Amino acid sequence: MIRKYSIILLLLFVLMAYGCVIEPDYGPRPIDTFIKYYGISGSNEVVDMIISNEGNLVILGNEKSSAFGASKDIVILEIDTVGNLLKKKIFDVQSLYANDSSYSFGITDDEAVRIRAIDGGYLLCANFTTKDDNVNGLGSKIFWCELDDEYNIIDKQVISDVDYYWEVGDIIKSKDGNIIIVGGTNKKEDGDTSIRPEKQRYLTRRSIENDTVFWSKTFGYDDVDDFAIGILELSDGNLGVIGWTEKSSNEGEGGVNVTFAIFTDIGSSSSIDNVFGFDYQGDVDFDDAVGDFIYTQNEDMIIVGTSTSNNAVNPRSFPFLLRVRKDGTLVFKELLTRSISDLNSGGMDVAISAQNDLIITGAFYNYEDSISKETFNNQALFMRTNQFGKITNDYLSYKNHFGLAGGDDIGKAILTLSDGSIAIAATMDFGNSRTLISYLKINNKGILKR
Amino acid sequence: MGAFEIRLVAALFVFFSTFFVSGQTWTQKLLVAERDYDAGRLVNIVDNISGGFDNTLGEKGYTSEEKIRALKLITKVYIFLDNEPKSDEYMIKLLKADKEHKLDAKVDPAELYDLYRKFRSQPIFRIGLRVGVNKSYPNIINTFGTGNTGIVSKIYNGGGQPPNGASVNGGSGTGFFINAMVERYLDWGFEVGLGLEFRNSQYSVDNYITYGDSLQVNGSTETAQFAVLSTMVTHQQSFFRIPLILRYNFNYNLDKSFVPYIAVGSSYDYLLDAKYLEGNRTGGAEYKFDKDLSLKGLDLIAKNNFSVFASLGLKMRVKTHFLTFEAKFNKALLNYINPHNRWSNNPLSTYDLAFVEDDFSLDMLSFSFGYTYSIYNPQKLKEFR
Repeated sequence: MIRKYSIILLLLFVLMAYGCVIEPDYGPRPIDTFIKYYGISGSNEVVDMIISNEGNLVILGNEKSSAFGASKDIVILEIDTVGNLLKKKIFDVQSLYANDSSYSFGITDDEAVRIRAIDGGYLLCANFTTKDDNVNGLGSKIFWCELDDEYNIIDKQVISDVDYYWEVGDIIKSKDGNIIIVGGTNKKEDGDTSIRPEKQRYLTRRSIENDTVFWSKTFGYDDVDDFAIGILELSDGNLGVIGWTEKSSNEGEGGVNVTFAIFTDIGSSSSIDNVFGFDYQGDVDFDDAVGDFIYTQNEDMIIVGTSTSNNAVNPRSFPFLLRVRKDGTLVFKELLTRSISDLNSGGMDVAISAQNDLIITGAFYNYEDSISKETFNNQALFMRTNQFGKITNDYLSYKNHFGLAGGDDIGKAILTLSDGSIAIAATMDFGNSRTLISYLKINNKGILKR
Repeated sequence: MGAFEIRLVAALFVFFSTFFVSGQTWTQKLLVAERDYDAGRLVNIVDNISGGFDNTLGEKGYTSEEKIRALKLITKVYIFLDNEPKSDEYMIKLLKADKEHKLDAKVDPAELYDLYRKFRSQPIFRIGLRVGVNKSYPNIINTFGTGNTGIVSKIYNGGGQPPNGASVNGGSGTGFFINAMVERYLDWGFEVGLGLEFRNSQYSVDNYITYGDSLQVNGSTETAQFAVLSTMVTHQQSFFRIPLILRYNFNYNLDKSFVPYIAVGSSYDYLLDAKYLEGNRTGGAEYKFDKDLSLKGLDLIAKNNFSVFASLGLKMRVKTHFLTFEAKFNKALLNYINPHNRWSNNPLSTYDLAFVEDDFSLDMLSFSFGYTYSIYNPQKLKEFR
């Protein structure tokens, strides 16, 4: 009788034995994709993201508690490859200068702008405004500092004046070990010949140890605002400065346009100060706002941003990509209008993918799914183009959106990780002034899948 | 008395005795037949009592108890008349009339015992129907989350300590099931069974996005976690299952009214449907939640699974059938979640609820009540045919 049922019994015991030894292997691994949220009760927003000196991710942002009377502070998060929060640092300019008799800032709202990795630490720059205008004057001031690898402040400085405002765009450490800061100001430095400008591109070279100012210069065009959003030190020692201006482009596009200028190592302007703009279906009146930029090994600048039409009837906005050589030659400029049909969108950051394509993040404004017709508020955007910024047929499917059905979500920074996957830092809006910093790790197709 | 007179008396005796016999009830006839059997008068027994089986007699025929006695008597008669085909026939009739008929060593002859052992008196199989309740015990294989999972864990089925500023809102994760099983007794107390089961179960998850901050506790400062967002989802799933069971009955004996047992088994589990019954978020403003969204349709859940189980139960004999009470622990062997689609295929939960599923096996503790019906088909065993 037992023999008759031996097959059944054997099957049973095999299954039971299998149950005892099975150990599924689904553990987190570098190739896993995910989204993580970070923040406090209140508003938390992403500003920038870089690779840390230890190979982790550093997200720079701001946070503001929902508590009554709270002010906005700068926050740095270091995150490992699987999304664990390793370090968190908060900087409040008011607190940093509370015991410094040279300043009396009172309560400050601080806006982080950029973090750069340098040997042995980081450079951080931010804008801040004070509540006590009578003492400190109206408008923005610049805070910048050098941090060690643990994000402790080694040295810090402010650029502040009661009569003027300054906004920072970027900060680098030059080969000579000094600091170069760019941005904008309404103060005209000596030698600035522009007529009736309000905001000028501002460049300064300083030493952080004793705040030696080697030089400070402003540049701009007559009657319009200009701003320097980024800087890089070229191999020949000159400084490449990316910015925007309200001046018409070399080809006649109106609105706000992108600038790329070369300055000497002492901040003198050269003949290269090009203005690039975009038009769409014959409409040249687009504001082209620079989101961010990267530079390649051969020192080409790839700039991403948002072109928004000033047409009140049918306002459109699209991400744009622009590649400029260090001699100012335009390699390409592309409006990413393909694949997004009637959707408006914008670009905030760009990276080069492991496949040598360009990938960008930003936002879809009032996203509507073309198939399901499901509607969302603003969604974080992912797009992939070829290396010339074109969305050919092969790239049409590399488009995705992330975020909540409600709320205005926006991708602010994008990086290609060593395993070929893509990191996006985005601000996710949960409503009621509750926003969180999010880190999305997506695959090279732009989706949350292995 | 002359020869004529003797013949007359004999004729009258036969006439009246015939009249007397024909006037007896079948009960009386059976009693008479049993006396005849005891006296060794076997020849007319079968003829005298066979008529009592006629169903058309209704209440005038045999009672159930009398029918069994009559069948047993006829079987014995045929044994002693060396009529094997007939004795076999009536043994089968006896076993059909009285399932698992018990012989009495005091009165039943050894020959009847010998014949009895050559027949299948046990049920060929049993059909069990059970209904019960279950409670889920998600067994975490790996933790995934949108928060800092190394510090704050999700809370399943309402059991755990939430971070500061948050509460636990999840339910206890109970469901129900209905199970039909065909069982067969092997030997030595062992039974095997194969069945079909519909299982509906639930689990709830409380999920937290937190940040660390200092907290004063009894005058000292500690770092504690405070909730920024908290989410609760109730996940319901239904499975079609095919369980295979091996059961050992303690003291499996016809005399025992209560039979405790243990069992082990395995099951193939096919996912019929899965969805979030409930989903809510504390923190922020409105969120979008679609309770009709099929998680199976989104390919978020593994459609096929296997499980093993162990159970402890008690059978209570009702004639030849059983009432059963059983406690069972079921361990799923494979991940309940499809890990490839964890993050991508349910945007509403990933973003609006800031929630993703862990990898886990969906284990269950269940309690059931059931009835097992025995089905017989008495036959002479193959080796004795």
